[in-house]
Amino acid sequence: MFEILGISSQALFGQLLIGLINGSFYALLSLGLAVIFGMLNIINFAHGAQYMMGAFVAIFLLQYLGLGYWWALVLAPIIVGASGIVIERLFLQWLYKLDHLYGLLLTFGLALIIEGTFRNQFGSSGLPYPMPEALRGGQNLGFMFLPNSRAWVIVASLAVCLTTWFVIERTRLGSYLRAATENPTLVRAFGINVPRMITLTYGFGVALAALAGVMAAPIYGVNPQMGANLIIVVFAVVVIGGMGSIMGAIVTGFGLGVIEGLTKVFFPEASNTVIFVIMAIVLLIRPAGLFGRGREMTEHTATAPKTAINPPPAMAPPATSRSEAVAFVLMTAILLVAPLIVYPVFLMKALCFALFACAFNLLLGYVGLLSFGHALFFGWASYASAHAAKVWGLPPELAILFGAMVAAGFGLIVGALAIRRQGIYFAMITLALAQMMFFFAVQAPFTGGEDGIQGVPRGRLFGLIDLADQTSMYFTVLAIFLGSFLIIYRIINSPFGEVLKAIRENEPRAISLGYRTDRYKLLAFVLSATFAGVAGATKAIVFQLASLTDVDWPMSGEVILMTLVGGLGTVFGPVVGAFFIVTLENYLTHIGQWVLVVQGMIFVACVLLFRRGIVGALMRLTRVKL
Amino acid sequence: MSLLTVDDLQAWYGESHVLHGVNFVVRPGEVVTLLGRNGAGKTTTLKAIMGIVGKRSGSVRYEGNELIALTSDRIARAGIAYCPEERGIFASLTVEENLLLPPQVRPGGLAVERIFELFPNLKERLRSQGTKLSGGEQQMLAIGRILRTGARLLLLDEPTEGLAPVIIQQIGRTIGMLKQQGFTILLVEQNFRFAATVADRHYVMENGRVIDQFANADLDANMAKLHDYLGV
Amino acid sequence: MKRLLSPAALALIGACTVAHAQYTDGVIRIGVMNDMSGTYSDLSGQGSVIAARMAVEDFGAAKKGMKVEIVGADHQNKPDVGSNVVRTWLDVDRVDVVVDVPTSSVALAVNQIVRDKNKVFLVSGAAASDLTGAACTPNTVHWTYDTWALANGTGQAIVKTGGNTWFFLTANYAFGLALERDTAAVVVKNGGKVLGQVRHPFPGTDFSSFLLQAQASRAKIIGLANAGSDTINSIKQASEFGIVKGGQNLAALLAFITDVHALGLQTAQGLIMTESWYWDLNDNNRAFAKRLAPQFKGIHPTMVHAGVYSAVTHYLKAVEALKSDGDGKAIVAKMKELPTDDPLFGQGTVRADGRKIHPMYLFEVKTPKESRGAWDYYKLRATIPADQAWRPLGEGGCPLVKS
Repeated sequence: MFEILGISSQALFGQLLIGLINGSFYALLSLGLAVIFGMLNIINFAHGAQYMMGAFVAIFLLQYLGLGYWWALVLAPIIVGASGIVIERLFLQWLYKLDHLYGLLLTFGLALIIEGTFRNQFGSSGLPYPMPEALRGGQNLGFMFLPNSRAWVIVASLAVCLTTWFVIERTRLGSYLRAATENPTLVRAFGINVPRMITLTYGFGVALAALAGVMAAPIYGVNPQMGANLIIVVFAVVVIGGMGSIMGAIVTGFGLGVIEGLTKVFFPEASNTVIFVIMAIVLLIRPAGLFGRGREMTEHTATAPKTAINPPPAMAPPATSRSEAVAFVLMTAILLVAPLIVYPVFLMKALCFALFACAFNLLLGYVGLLSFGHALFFGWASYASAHAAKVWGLPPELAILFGAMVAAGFGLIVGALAIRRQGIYFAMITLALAQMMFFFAVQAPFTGGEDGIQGVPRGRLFGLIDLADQTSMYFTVLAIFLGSFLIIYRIINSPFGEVLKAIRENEPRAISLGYRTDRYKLLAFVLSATFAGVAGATKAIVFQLASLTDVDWPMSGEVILMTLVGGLGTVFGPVVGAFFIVTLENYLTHIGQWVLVVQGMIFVACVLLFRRGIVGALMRLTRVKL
Repeated sequence: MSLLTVDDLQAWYGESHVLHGVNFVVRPGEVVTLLGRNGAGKTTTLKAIMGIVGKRSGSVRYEGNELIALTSDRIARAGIAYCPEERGIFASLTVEENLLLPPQVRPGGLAVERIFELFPNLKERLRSQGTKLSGGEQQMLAIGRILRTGARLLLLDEPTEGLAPVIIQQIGRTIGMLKQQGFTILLVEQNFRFAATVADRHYVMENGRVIDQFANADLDANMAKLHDYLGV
Repeated sequence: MKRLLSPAALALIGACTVAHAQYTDGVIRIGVMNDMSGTYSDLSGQGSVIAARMAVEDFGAAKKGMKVEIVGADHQNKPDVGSNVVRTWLDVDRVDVVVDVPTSSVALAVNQIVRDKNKVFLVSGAAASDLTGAACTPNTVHWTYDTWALANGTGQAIVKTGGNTWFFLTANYAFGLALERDTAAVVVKNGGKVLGQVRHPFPGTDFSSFLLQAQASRAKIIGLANAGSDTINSIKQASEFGIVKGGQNLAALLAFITDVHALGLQTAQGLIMTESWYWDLNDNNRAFAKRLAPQFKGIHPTMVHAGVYSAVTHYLKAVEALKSDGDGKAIVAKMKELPTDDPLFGQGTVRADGRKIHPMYLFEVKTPKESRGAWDYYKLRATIPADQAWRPLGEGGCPLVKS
């Protein structure tokens, strides 16, 4: 019996053991993700939803067929795995020739559909799952009382993980998998049906997720959101371990579970962010991950050239941008008279999001970088501007400016960390950092946590115009939007913008021409963050509220959706997309959780069928540049 | 009657049109080489036959079956084996796993013991990681593993590239032995002197087309022409 | 399309219709907003809408010539969603009074908006005692319960009955921290000791680590300063780890009968909590439950539902007396002037700071043996009289209270 930092050794061992339990889930889930990523090069965002499905299938098996836990352990993974196979055949197989990020977007959309459907049917509070007889009670280990259910989780996951590792690394079947991961074309040329292997591998990875879900059911209960929160943490685990490394995923999963467990003892408030912090550190010093083999994405782009993240317009744009000028005038005219017909508060919301989407489009459409954490800039600018207006009493124009500056600052830090990596890594880093800042926002005193910052005064613009008047507020927002829109347009059509487009098309060539591409990318990132901040800061003033919703990851997903729907890499696409989505959601509010499903379906439809977006399609039809 | 007939074979990498209509035949039991400069389209031709280029058109008939529209695994199962230019040894597999990877597509492939007789080095290095072998050993492995499959037509892409003369001779002997066993081999080579030691006929390619062919016996007679083609 | 049309457009349309004399566009519109699909959907949700409807029926609004409409909405526990709904309600849909709103963050946001537009806000679901403290307004009445009453009821009563060492398991966000702070103060004031606390991230799923720490502290009482699914999961996992069997007791600082129902008596037995209303306390309550439960999937009414009923009843009384529903401040002033009287809460008053005054009750959850069936969950341990249950009028910092 000894003490470490005020905790008795007994208590410490107890906490370590508990850490292993969480680690078991992390290991199982990251194993599934790693297996899928290795073979398909797709980050399976739907993994959390499939984990949740496993738990629900266990409930259905019990309720409708009277089959208990032990049956569910076998049947649920098979059933959910089969659904995974269907997904791969129906959706994923079309993406292998495209940029990897489309896989992320598609599986994100699928996750929304699955989660939304279950939420609709079962509400968010969840259902209980009875603890099976054999697992009730526990063992008194002296230093703690360990419930049998928890001990079982550790033992079962270890067994599954090690068996999977053994099969992959030491058996003939595993050699096929490993070879196909390295060089699928050659393996196929030997006569092996690689597409079928890919399908089955995806099914297997999904089955692992479902298995974890069944094991979680009696311990944590079953609710439709159980996967969403877990999945981002598991992503971080996989990035830390190194993608595509099986043993790496297992060891990292268990290891991080233990580290998180220890954090709960010594610094509990930080226990849900410690994994992200570790991820940021690992990315800085060992980007391939602790056990990664250092293989870059490019190794998989064997033969066929992949279509870039935004397909360039079908024809060369005409020399003048007269059509754009006309469109701009038209847009301004419509927005000037709109408040007479349409509820101005709704319009202002749409304008703020339109600006947010334009800022995002700058990064994705013109530089080709998919940030999955733009809510960070939007939301924190919102907090900053709300704080400045309410607590410091700044007039609205200064508050918004302050918000934008805060966003720019964050943009610099996040950009500097994230730009080091490409493609999917970049998306994951931005996601994880944004999630870390979300948790920080929940707990920090000045953000008001769950309450948010409320009662933000609208103030007097320049000390003269009282923005409490709806009309004045509207025209101020409109002015901000139009001004920012013009600046972004100018950026896109400047020499700087041309370099950005060159980087998007072919970065190595741009480097060979002598451009310091990292600097350009960072500057573009900061600009994108700044304008996202302007949007967020303005929104806080309009709605007089800055809340957690603005920094949460679904918000990052929304702006991607708006830009995708509107048309990546087009000038007016984001505006159209934002208005479309905001209107859609307005109509759908009374159908509650179906909004998620609809959003997910739009994601899937856009990625598979409609990559040009509304404006992109319009451009193609009318042969006009927009 | 030919084993393999290639007729107006065209191929594209994305937008670029790489093969403009390749025509040749390979008869059973022959060793035929494709000669030509860098970029002539030799490797692409092998890949097109194997079905691993982006887009292709024309006709590739093997044992009377049309292969042009088939996926590469079906082409392999038709009885053709491919040994790529970069050898394609898998780093995440051991030598033994590499050797046993390609499945049997026809009965009558070489037994593993036979392959060890041909390439004794492999037997000693079975547990090593595939890419830890020397260049020559990797080439042995690359050739050895396709012998097990039972495929009767072997496509070898530059098997001697970057290897020491001693190893090159060993490969030459191996090809000779395989020919005796009844294998048919289509060989891509830049090293025409080596090609001369093993082949029955040679085709010359340039700009994605076959522009000339010689019997091996006529090689010396056409040396000047050959130098011209190959820019040596 | 109605939601998007501007007030100007609507006014144009409205001007063509003939308006009834007294009430804004002739109808008293009651908006019941709460969590319709999430963690709080059972303790409020559709049940609150039903309770409001029952109140309107029992008041006899139709016979008195008052046209009353009830609309419901889901705020998904998000302040921005709630704000948007209320803003649209008040600007465009001509709603006159907003009722219920659990989740304090949403309630605080709605509180501001209602004040700005001079309507009425009757809070039943939310807990934040700030609503009658620093954030009080002349347009808001806080019914049912608040954090101060809970802390006081649970904390004091438990310490007095021997639970004098405490360890807190707190959700690390404003609400949880406030709950911990208020209860700790009460514990100390009554001679108890706080041995420690652990703050878990919000929301949490796995509490085993924190429960182990609570166990190691050997405190007699483990106070759960969290809510909703956090509370349910803490209790469930505490049961798994044998905490109660090991001799410690759990005090749920914010829990409802629906939580006990979700946990089951096997897990929840012995739990101590404070509520302001229980369906099995008297005949009136039982009758109410008998009417509501069948309309609400068998779920028995919680104190939140009862609060909605009581609040709507009193509101209608005030509106009837004033013969108008347009001026929020005037209506609330009337509600403070008139004493309350309804079958569920009996007689009571609304204080100057907007606080509704009624007694609170300390309950203990029955063991499975003691219960006669579903929803028979509570034993009454103590009654806290109305004049002792609430924070004293001058201590809240409400600007409406003249000191």
